[in-house]
Amino acid sequence: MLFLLKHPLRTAYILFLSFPWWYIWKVPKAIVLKYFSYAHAFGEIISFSFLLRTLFRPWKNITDTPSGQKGFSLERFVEKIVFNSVTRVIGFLFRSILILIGVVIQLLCLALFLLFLALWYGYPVAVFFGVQFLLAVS
Amino acid sequence: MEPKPTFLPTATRSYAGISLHRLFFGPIFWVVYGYILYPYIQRFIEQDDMNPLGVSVTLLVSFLIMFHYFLRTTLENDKLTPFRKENLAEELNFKTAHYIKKTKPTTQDIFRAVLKSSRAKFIINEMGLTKKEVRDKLKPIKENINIIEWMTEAQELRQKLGEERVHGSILFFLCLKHIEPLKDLLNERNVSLEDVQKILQWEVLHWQASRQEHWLHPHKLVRSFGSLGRSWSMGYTHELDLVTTDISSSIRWKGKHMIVLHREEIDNMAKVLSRSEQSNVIIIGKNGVGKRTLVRNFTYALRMAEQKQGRNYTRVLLLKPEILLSGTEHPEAFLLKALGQAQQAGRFILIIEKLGMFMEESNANLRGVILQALQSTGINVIGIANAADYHSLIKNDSAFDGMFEKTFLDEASEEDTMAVLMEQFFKLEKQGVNITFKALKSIVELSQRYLGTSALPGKATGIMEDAILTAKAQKAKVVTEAIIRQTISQKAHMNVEEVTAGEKDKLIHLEDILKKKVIGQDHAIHLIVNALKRARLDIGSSKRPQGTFLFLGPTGVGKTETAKVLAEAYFGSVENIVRVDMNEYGNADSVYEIIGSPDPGKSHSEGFLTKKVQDNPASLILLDEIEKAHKNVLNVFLQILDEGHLIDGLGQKTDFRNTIIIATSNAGALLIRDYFKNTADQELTRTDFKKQLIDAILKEGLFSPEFVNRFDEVILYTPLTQEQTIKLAILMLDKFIHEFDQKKGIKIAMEKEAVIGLAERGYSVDFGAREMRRVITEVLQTYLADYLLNNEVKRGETITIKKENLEL
Repeated sequence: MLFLLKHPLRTAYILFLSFPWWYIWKVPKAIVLKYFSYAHAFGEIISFSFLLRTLFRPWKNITDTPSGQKGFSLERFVEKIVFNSVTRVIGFLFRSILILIGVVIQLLCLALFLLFLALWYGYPVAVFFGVQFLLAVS
Repeated sequence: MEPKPTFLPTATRSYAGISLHRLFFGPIFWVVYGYILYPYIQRFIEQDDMNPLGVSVTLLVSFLIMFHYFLRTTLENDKLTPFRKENLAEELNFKTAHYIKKTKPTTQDIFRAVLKSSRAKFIINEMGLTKKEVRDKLKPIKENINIIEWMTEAQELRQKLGEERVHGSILFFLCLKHIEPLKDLLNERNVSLEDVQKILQWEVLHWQASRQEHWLHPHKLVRSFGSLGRSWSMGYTHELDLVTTDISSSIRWKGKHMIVLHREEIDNMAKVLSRSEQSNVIIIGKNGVGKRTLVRNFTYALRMAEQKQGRNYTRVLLLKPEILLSGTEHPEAFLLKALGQAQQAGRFILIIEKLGMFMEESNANLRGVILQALQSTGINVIGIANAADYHSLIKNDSAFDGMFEKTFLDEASEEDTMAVLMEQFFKLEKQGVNITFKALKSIVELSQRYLGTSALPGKATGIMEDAILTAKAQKAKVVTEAIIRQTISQKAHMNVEEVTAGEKDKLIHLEDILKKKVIGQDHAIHLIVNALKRARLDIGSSKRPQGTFLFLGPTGVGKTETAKVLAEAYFGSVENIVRVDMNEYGNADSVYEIIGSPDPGKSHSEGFLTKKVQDNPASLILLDEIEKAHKNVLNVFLQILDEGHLIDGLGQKTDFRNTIIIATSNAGALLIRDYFKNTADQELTRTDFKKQLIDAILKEGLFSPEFVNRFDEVILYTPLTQEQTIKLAILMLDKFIHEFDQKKGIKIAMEKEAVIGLAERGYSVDFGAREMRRVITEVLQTYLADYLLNNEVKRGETITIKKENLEL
């Protein structure tokens, strides 16, 4: 309490300048930075770049490898083409689904943080209307 | 010009936070809040209208929560810049600022802050003190302090520690440094100020270690879920997974260490493993040096680097040789297929522990598969082996050995080991047993002193864990030095516990005990016992054997007998003698019989002496007739006598620091005999004679000067006088009569004249006690044999022997 009496200017600075600045700028900035760290974390968990780079790669590198047989066999050739295509399609499906899930999570994350930001900036407006209501009632 | 430093606690950011907190959350404003809410409460009671009350309470509570958050982040936050840098009170952290509010605080204000600080409590516990003991010591002290000087010093210290603000532990350190009565606390606990400074550094680590991220923290989420996209880009490795453990999958959870040793080796390994060819590493070092920890630290560093650089992860797989060798029908075919499959799946590093033994257990085909893997560009192998296995099992196969880049790990220093122990202790703290700084220091010193076969930090961490378990079993809250010594005694197979009252008594009377059993060599025994007392109480060098003696004297005067009696009295048993008859080591190749041959094909791959001492580190080594050994053999002992250890043929270090080494020699026996025939009692001349004797021996070339110089004492064993021979005779007869009584149950009573007669007959300057033994055998024992044959003597009866019976 001594501080408030001994340093009235500093108290006023804290309450009327520091606090509003903290409210308008510092906390929203922290919210945005927090959003980016979570977005980065989810990005790391999903690993979008890896999924995109390997989108059409055979699932778990499962391929029909060459058997070392001499000569050309049409049957074998077609078998390989079909098998490798199927594993690529499976790989594409799994990865696409994960990318989709990742995008949904990122959008949800963004939505949540935007909501939080909106609530934060909306709070003084709510206070204003709340006080108005209380004054009207009294 | 720099502004003058001040100390104004009420003008600080922390104090502003405390004041505003007390204002808005204190009794005055609760009255104000009550006054604001009262009309709405009244409205609710009278008109049952909840809305205004709900709105007002919501607004008030939300505002208070927000304001509390504001105060915490902007005023009560130690990381923010101070209002004014010259105000040294800004250096105090938020918690400490609660207790130091005066411009000229007294010691009591500082003490209050210290006693309330959880960080200072760590230092107090590590010093082996309790808060109550410290409080009782601090209570009567009422001194004035120069707060500006204190805070300037505190500021420098906290900057050195990398801390944001000065907290209670730093203040406690300053109290110990500057307040005289508190230095008693240091002396009571046998802790120096440098030790407290080290504890302070560890307290900072402890603080960092104890701060856990909350479970929704982004880093924790990444650790929990891993990287799905990355793992999906790697193929299946079903077969390799059966015979390996993936240590990289959970490394980000378990792999982070605050203390990382061998950083240079980790960087080297990373470089070697990224090469296109010859990209395999073998880590060689003693047991306990940290080979496995090095691999884990490397795996962690690799995983973090790959994550940062956006690269695909490398799996680090630890081979389970027992499953490969015993669990598969054709291990070589299985491994070949598994490695081929794994190469398709993605990059991996294969770790083979105990590489030498694995190669020895494998058949030729399996070794071929491993060799092929080593040559392959897609596979990296990290082998782990100790020095002995490397030299005996791997080095000889040049093709195999050439595939690896060697990384030799040295033993950690004592300082690094202390840091590792401290970090390990943070993890074991939850077991409810505390371990003080002094105890940790003892662990390092004693394990280094008595456990020579393994290396730091492994042996120290093993001792610490065992000591904590022992303390838990004994229901003790603190691991004391006594518990540590008990643990080390069990591990080292020798007694390293503090000298007890009984032992002290034994050591004090050891000289008398030995003098009763070894006749006529009082001077020698005096020197030996002095050396033992110094060794047992840890006085003197801990880097050499406990005592090294060269006994010079004619045959039969008690040199070997001294060694036997000493082994029994000091080590508890004659079994603890390692007797080496140096007569058998008279040629150059004999050295391999002592230290072992580096060639595993030779018959003496393990040395006789090194093996004995490794099995029983607390031994008495008796080198009989040392002058008969080849000079190559004597050169081996130069290292043992000087440095207390020996590197054998397999590169393994054998620790001789807990042994007593006695070398006996008949060199100069004639000179000694002639000298003592003429001038036996002149002490001063004896010293000169000893010098002359040594010069004569060196001149003869029997020993080199550097060899003789390495012994703690060169002890002259003198021929026995007639009087001493009588005492010896009595001793030998007593022993014989006792053994006869034990065996036959028949007592023997000998007349004084008979004893004297035997002594006179057995006296020989040339042959010493051996002549006496021969006389007792030929005269007394033969008489007894004849007597028993011709007379009926029952158990419990006594045979009386007179001089005339023995025909002396």
